[in-house]
Amino acid sequence: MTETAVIGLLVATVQFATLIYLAALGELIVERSGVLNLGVEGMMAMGAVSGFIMALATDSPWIGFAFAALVGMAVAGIHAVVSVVMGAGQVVSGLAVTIGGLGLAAFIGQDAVRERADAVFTDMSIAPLADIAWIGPILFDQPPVVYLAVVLGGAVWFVLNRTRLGLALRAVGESASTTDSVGHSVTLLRSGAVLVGGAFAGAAGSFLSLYMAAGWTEGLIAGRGWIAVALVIFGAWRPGRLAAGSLLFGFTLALQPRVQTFDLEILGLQVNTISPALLGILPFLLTVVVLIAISFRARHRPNPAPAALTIPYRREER
Amino acid sequence: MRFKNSTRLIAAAAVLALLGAACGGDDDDPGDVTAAFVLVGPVGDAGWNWAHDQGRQYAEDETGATTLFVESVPENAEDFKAVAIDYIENEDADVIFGTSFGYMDPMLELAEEYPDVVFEHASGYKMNDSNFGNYFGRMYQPRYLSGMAAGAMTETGRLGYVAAFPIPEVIRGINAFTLGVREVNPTAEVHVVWTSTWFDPAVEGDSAKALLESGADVIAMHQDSTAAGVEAQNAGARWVAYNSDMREFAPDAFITAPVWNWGPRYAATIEAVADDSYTPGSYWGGMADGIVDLAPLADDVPSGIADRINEVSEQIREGEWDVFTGEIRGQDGAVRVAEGATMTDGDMLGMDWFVEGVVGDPGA
Amino acid sequence: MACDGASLSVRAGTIHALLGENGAGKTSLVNVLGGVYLPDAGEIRVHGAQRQFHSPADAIAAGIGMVHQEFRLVPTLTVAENIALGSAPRYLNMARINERVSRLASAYSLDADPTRPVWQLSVGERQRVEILKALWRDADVLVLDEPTAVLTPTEADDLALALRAMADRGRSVVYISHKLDEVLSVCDEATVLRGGVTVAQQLSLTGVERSDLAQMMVGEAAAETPRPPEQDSGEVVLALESVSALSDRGLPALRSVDLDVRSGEIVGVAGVSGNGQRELAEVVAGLRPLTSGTVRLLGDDVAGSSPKARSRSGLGYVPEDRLGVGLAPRMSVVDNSVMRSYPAMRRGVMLDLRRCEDFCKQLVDRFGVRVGRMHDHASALSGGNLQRLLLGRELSGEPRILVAAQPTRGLDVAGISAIQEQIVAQRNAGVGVLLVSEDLDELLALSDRLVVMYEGRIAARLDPRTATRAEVGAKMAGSGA
Repeated sequence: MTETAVIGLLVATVQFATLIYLAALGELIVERSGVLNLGVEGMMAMGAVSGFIMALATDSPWIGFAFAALVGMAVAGIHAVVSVVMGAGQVVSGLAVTIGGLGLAAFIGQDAVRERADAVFTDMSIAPLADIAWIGPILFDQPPVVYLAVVLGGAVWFVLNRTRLGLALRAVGESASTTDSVGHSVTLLRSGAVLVGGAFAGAAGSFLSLYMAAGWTEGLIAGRGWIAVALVIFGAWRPGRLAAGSLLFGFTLALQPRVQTFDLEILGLQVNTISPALLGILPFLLTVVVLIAISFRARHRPNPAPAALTIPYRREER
Repeated sequence: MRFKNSTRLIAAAAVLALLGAACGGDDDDPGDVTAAFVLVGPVGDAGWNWAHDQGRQYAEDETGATTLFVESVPENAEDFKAVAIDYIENEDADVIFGTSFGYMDPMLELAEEYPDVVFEHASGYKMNDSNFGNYFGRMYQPRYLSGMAAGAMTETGRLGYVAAFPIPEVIRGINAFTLGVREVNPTAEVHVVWTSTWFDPAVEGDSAKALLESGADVIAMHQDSTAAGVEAQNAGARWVAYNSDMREFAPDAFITAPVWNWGPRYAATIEAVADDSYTPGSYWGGMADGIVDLAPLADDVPSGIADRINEVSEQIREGEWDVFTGEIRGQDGAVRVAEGATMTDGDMLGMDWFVEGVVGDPGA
Repeated sequence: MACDGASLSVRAGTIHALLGENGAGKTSLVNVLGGVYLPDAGEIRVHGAQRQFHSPADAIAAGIGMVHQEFRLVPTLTVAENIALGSAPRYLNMARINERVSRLASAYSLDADPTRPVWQLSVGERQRVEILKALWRDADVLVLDEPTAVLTPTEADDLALALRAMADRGRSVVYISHKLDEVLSVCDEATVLRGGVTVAQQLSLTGVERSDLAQMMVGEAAAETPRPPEQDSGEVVLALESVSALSDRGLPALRSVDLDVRSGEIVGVAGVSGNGQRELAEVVAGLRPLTSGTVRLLGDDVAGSSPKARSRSGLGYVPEDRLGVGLAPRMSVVDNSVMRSYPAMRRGVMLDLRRCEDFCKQLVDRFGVRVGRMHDHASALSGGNLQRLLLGRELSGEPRILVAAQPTRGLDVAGISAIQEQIVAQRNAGVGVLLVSEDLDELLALSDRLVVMYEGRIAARLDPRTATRAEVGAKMAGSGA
């Protein structure tokens, strides 16, 4: 294993982590408000295709990225209206958004499939930090979206924990009737959260089409929206743990191809014989382990899941 | 979801209405034949489905037959049958081409139900004795040639191969490529990374990156997207593409590509259907039949190597020599094919071992 | 019509009792005050100014703070976060908010650690947080709905002190309660509702007798519950030996409980809610598994036998949760009444509907259940009628053992005495009764023997003929155990 290979592994870890962190951060906001959004996959697809087309049209990855967030938000609007305003089943609505979003993205993107985008994100090195050995290339020579994700993570933590809005959002995810009784609008809080979550998912999708795959094809998202949904559980609905979890998930994703190139023996096991397919299910396996751990711990403390998750709220039913 | 309600059908119906339905007649004019193509993905994938659609267009131009196609039909019996039956009942299709492995069993069933319609299945192995046959190409032949070009272009002697699944078709390709590489560069190694997906640009690109980081300077692939090529270009490395001539996606990296050329086969089948001479079989055509080929080499491939490639290519076309002719050793150095012997088609179709020079696990 | 021309005037600086039977309109009136219901007619004046409440937010803005029976708290948030929710500054400086909460708490002797998450708090502490929430928003009028129902006697005393402190600072307290003694000791004035109408307004409570208040509430002199005549008890019908069980949260709820009930006696179980009484009743009914020990019904070990089998062998069970466990709210009164006796109502594989209706009618008549139509949903019945229906159904199986959990909770005076009469009648007829209740007066009046539960153990076994309220209260609070 060479230095290049190790750095490459960690660079890819950070990038995969960024991709799922962005989507999961949005989903975290949504779930903390008490709404489950299973439409992440569809919102990411819509963001990926529209961001790519917009970047082609304007020659600017940033405009594409912003547009992807807007489109993600628009798609999330459907989920907000159906599940929050009308109070219909969140699971069904979310799945419908995923299926519809994937289909619509494929339709919209038909002509973009063979396009090569030159207007994609490129690595942005932060001098002089990028020159530090090891750390530099891993952390400070990345596409700007990586840095943005770090900033957004901090911002989400701040809003959740240090503002009135965040307090209300945390409360509405635990008990909508309580939040209503102190004068906050449950519908407004939850719809807002769903829309912001959609913007994050859309932006995450465009990170795929505007950097990681640098192009659009049907099937581009390939289940990463679902990894994001699992990651929120893994991260116990906290932005900090979510960041740690996304690095771990990102590491398993980056390891998948690389472990096959490592001529390395650990504890008598030749690592390049580890099945990459097995590594592929590791994030989901880890999530199940965390779920089990949570249910054991829940005997002594409250479950970290927002108590009102998936429960629609209607005032007259309290 | 019932297919009848899907937009796919509505779109297909609209296209057909515009084309106008040409009836299959009983005389020998292939222009009267209606041929329907069922594709597993979008024709815009630049890969597998695009190649089949190129073949369809070629056959239509050659024979004057009416051709119809539908994209992105899932590999399950219900969806496939709904599409095929619609073509047969409403469009009088005379021949149905199914271009994905998973269509095999529903095609066999439909062939019994509709004895007057010909069913041709790509990449499968089942057939009947009246109206259901299969066809595929000896892609390993151009893969060997592409390996020769790659072996000449590597500087580090370390090549990377981004591969989908460890199945005989893919393993055969890797082995053929490696034999080609070592023909011109006897000490070179081909490192394999399995992606467990036919189509996931992010994973394919990242796998190429991983190989590049481990020291490879040429990337070959058995995948359906162009992502590996883009990564190779970004790293200043070289790329052997697959399926079609993909040079426009990574012009600096592109060396060559083993490509599909389904057109002649499709034209021949349509003509056989037209004059009632069709008999089902297991068609496995090679470079001699034109169903597979090598894309033009990049300009910087040394002319000496280009000449050798042409020479071997000629031998293969003439049937003087084939790729899996001994002596061939396995990964462990043991002789797998004796000097002068040639592997049978059956052995090739069940290949589950790597030749010497491949680094990777054929059972991963 | 829940409220028809009801009036309530509360003077600043007083603790004002709102009295009335269940269904007298207290809850409706309070909901109007809290902005939950819109009144069809009438007006609300706060400090003389007319106000219209369209939502809870309007009521809060007008200075009205509600403390409901079910707390409106977010368990995962801290005390301070719960208090600040709804009226926090845009950016939270939790250190400063915590400090302000502490100061407010100590000003009213409402001891609370602002940094603790609410799920860690006891019921009494949670109530304090609810009160602090109202004070935080500077509520002039604090409305408490049955505030002592969930408190230990000591906690109730502390609450009374805190409320007095508020009144002394010029705030008003509306105190809704059934417990007349408590009202007399805590409140200054009272409003009495009956049938949605105010029967007494701004009644000064100085020198008023308990029986006067009771009479105003029911419209006739309410008899004190008489002790049933002494009688000899028979053989043991229910025996618990070293029974332990877990709560819903997986924590020990019963710790090695020994208890037996003989035929023809009422064994009362006292305790503050959450000390294992509910689990005790469920263990006997077969709804909760044992972790150790044995339960014998009529001498047989019933370990592993289902609730149905226990019911067949002579157990009647009136659960605490009438509309969840006891009755099916969305099934008709008829269906609910025959649930226990389906086999007897069969004709072939079908139910004999006529016989079901006859059975239901009998039950309704015998137990005085007031129903509109027999095919109405059970959820349409009032609390007292639900309880009569449930009790009637359980007694229709002619049980030899009756477990009744909180059978009179939330019922009006008439309902309480009807239910108590039935229970006593069963005891006189030789049924062994296990009576779980939080109403000490009821337990002291009805029981032949009394046990007090504290933290899952039987903390005391008392003779109800000689025990005093204070004595029982002390045992309930765990002192001297």
